Amino acid sequence: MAIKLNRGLISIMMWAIAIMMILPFFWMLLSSFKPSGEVFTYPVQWLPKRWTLDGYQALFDSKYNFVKFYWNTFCVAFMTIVGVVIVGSLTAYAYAKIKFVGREVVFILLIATMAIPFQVIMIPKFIILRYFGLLDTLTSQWIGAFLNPVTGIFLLRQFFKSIHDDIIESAKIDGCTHLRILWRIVVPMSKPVLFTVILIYFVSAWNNYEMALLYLRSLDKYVVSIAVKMFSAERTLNHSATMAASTISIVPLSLLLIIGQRYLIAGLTAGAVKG
Amino acid sequence: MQRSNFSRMAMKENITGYLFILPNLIGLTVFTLFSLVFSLVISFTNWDLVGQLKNVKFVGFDNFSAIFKDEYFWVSLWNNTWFLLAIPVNILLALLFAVALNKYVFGRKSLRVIYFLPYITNMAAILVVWNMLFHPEKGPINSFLRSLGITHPPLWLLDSSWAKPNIAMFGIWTSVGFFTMIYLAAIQNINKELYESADIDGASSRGKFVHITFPLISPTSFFILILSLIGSFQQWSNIQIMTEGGPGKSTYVLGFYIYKKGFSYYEMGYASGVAWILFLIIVGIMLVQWRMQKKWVHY
Repeated sequence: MAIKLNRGLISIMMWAIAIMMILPFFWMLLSSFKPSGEVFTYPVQWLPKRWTLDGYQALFDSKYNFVKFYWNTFCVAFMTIVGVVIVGSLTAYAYAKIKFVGREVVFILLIATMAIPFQVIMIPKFIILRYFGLLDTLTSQWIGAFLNPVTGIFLLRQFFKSIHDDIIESAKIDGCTHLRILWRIVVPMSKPVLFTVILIYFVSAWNNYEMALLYLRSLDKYVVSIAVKMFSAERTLNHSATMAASTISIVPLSLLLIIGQRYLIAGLTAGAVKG
Repeated sequence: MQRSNFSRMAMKENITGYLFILPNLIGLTVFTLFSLVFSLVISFTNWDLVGQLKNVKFVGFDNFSAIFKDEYFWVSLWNNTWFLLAIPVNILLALLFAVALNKYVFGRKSLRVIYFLPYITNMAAILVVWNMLFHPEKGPINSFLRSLGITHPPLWLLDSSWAKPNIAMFGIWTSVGFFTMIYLAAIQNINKELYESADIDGASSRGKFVHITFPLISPTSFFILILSLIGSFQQWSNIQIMTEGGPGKSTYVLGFYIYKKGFSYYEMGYASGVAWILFLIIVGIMLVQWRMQKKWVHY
């Protein structure tokens, strides 16, 4: 009896906190359907007195073409995932299953670079991107995934290592090259961890603000995170349009979380712990 | 005959291995290692991005002596130290939530999603909402406070005493769910038999937590502590969106200062100098933590 009471009480507290944590999202969502004047009212109003799509209309009518920004963000996310899967698999497989000289040393070097703060790299990266004419291109946003997807390499290597060497060996005896082994045997076996890695990188590509701020300039190259910030800075009068912009930026990943919560939560926390 | 076959195979393995990691190696060399060296070198120059590379002059330690005389640098350092206060709060909350979620709640799956949601939310998009929520005159938070009788609620981001706490609150709101899930996974990994034998010995809930749970999750605590420390010192884009370092200098942090000097004033040499100082601070903190972990982390 005492245990049940305890559980009930703590449940109530946790749910109360949960409701407080989620209030900003509710306010954002509901405000996006209000006429702009209704967003800030005293006393606070939750439900719109008059449901309207004016905010969304203003958003898509403005010079800020959010359809384009969505598309840009998807392109960046897509290329990021392609990069991580290809380079990540190749690299992780080599570290896990190919015995080459200096393997452990190079791997430790890779890990060590994770300690370097972004600030030290961000200025030289700007110079390098400028030198190659990649400033103000979407390429600047996903090139990192092709060159050094550290978390992906780490997670994939962890998984590949758990695959029995016998499978690799018998394939080699049958005359398979490592490349064939990777693409025909190892990758199909690794669908869960690949899915997790894809989710992790999709989230980070979608939410990325810092790289976009530093390396993008023209409006037509903007991604969603930057666009929302710029939009709100300029459109200070149309509050519901601002809320609409934030809503469409946040909703996709929220849906992803609700649908794929098992993979997403497990993947992001495992990626952090192992990485 | 057999020996040369063997060494031929070994040579093939070596070549294949390095071919496989070649894209990554190129990336590491170009972006990371080169950047490391390059930023160190330009920290000793007066480069301001404009003009030819050959006009750049070496100024020795001038940048660094200017940095140590710069009020913004010391204020930033102080603010970074202030933000460390949020870390124990954050970790404690995460631990409490994880313990609660582990055994003591109904609807755990839904709660997990709700607590995790702020973590994967687009920071720029939700900060727009956050700023509006905390608008000193019109925002719902202050309206609510006024309805409770508080006639002069804080001015939040417009008040130099409240800006940092507000930013800290945002930081906790977005990361506590993430740390909670990490703790939850660690707690659920503990061997149930340990608890069972403690029950047989008549241990209390508190006793079980102090003597079993806490020590066994101490590696996780250590990991979360390191993540928090590094994250706290490197933060800058939240400042850039929320306050741009203001009001006054009350929210200037090192990460933001580097961004401002490098990408607003284009003093790349100076900015790189501050970046390296930040790097050394972070390395120093990690070393201290590494030493101290022997005292409280059980493996």
